[in-house]
Amino acid sequence: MSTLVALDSQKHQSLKLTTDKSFAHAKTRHLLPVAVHEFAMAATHLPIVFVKDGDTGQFRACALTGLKPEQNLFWKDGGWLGAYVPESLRHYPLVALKVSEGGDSFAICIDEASPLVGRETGEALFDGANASEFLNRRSEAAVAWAQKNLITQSFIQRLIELKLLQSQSLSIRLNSGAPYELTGCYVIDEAALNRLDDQAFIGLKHGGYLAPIYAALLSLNQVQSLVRLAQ
Amino acid sequence: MHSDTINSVLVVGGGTAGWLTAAKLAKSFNSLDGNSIQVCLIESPDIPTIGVGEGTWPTMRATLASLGIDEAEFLRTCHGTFKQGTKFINWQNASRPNQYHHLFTSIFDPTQFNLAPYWLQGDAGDLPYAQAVSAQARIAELGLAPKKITSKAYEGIQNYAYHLDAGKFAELLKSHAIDKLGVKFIAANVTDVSLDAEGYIEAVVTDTWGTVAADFFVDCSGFRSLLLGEALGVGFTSIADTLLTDHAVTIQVPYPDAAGPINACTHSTAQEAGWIWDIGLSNRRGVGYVYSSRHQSHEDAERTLRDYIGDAAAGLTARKLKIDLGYRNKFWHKNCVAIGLSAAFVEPLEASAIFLIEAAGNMLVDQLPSRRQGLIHAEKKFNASFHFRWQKTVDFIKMHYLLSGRSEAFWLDNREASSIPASLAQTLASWQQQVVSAYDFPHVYEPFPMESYQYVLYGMGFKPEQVNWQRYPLHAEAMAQFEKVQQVTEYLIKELPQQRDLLDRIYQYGFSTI
Repeated sequence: MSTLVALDSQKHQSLKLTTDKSFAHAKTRHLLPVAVHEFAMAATHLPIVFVKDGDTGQFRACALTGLKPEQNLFWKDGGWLGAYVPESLRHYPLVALKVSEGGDSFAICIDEASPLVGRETGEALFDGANASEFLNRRSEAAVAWAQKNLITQSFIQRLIELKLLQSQSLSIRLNSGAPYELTGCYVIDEAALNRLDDQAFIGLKHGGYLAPIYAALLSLNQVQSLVRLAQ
Repeated sequence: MHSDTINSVLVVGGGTAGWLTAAKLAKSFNSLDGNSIQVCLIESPDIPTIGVGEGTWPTMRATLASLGIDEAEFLRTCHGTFKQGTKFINWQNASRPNQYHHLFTSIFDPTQFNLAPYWLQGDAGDLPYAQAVSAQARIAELGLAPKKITSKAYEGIQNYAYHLDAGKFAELLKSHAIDKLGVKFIAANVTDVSLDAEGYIEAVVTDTWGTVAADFFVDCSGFRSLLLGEALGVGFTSIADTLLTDHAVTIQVPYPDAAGPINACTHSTAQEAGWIWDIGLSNRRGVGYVYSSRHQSHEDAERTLRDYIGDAAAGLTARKLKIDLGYRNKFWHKNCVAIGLSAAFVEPLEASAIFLIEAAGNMLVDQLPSRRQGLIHAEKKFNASFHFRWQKTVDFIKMHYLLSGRSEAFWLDNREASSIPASLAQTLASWQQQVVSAYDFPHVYEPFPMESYQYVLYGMGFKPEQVNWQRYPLHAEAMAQFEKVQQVTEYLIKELPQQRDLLDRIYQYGFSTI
């Protein structure tokens, strides 16, 4: 993250971006952020869990792609295995960050250290002093993604307020090696969801939160897919 | 005029004692419901609150959580920091530098397997006791926090208490008690107290608010003890012949670098005629010298404090106060209980002040009877319990002095046989033959746990001379546990953030409630 800088039409004028359909930057990531909009899609392939960000302590919704840190079971033999690619992967190395707390405008930032960034191959980011059409398209997508993340944050906030998240360590039992617990994951507490009073429950319906809640619950069956991939 | 039932409680005096007690009562009684017991607090608008830095015990976490106060909000508004114990510097002797830690966490529970006899036999090598049994000594030395930003509010990876600005703390409790818990507030001076024919307090008379009646009264008026002492005539027992300090001089010291490190434990440094506390808040240090004016002049005492602070003391104002150590002969009398300085005061060596306010508030909450006839029995129980707690607190503080080898007059006088409570002398004698064990702490409400005594005794170099060491043959098991403590320590040092770094993150993000 330390190499993330705001795009600058002067400084970055000659930069080009290659597209990597193998998503090699996710090779060692066992958690990939997912937005609430893609829960339904992701849930049939990947377990969705809630984890606390190590820097901020704030919850993030993530697809679990490995059974231990630095392990991505969906990345194998030079490519992405899954039928579903989490949207977060597609924007790399561009990120849209809010310019100010509470404001509406975003700055487009780039990971300068990414191997996808170069001067020789790929699509140009700038056309003279102006953003190229390619960059405009990618920037819009990155901003849309950032907005989906904000909506995901309000979704998580609502879950916390209603006490619907519970810490749960996942028991991993592989053929080889001793069983162990994957800790630090939080999941939706189904019993607490069923105990909600009608008013709170209808509130979730009006917020459009019910589908992602059930998607996240069902997605936990995919832990077995991870175990199969790990065998 | 008085009903038989107890429907209203009037707290006289604000500060930490007043507001903490009022908040606890209102929360527990559910005073927001107008049909429940109502709590009112009268505070003088003329007495300013003074922001001294104070230390708490880990019990404060449960207290704040139960009141519904957000931990991040508390830390932000009270300049709070995490306290992981106390470092005692130069308490053993004055001739060469020495120190030890009194900590809140041990890795293994000593009532399950007591490592102390094995440490005493040398099974942990040269490690000081605190480092042999706890990770917290090194964590505190490195200025690390006891938890991470991903930790739940009020939960620690290591046990912790707080350092806080007592003035700001009282303000936070005040607004929380009034806005969220339904405590009624009157800003007025109490000018008189009226008693009924049986000697119960009927009402207090104020300068601007007329007469305020209640069924039960809590005296949080500070050293003055307006209700219990002045109106009800309950006497005061001085302990000046046991604990010899009688004054304190304090200075607030700004940090040279606002983003610099913060001490992760209280520092307590022994001096010629007392000791200096050094408490790191987020915005400044609170430093004070508790001393005996019979052993050092006020001028010399202030100079001692300024020398301790060093160049940074130049131009800073020192504040001197007289302290009367001792306690009321009764804490609860008829329909009045005293909590805080109005009840008792001992020197702040082991941060017992706020801790005993919490304890008194808890017992009052649980034991306040519904009807007036129940008061007599409640009074007996409360007085017995708090006489025990204060006596044990005095003994524990005195023990620090008894174990010292310092040779200035103040320290020699502290070890005079006539100044030592018999209860303490007997206990210490028994610990020559028998290592400290859970059987020494049979009381549920023991103010200081067994581990506290172990940290102080073995930190100060107390060596039992008459123990039959053959009774402790499990050397291999003990060494394995000592080894484990070192492994956990190394792991935690890598995991835990710097105290300042964590506080900055908390200000920005807060702690999650789950």
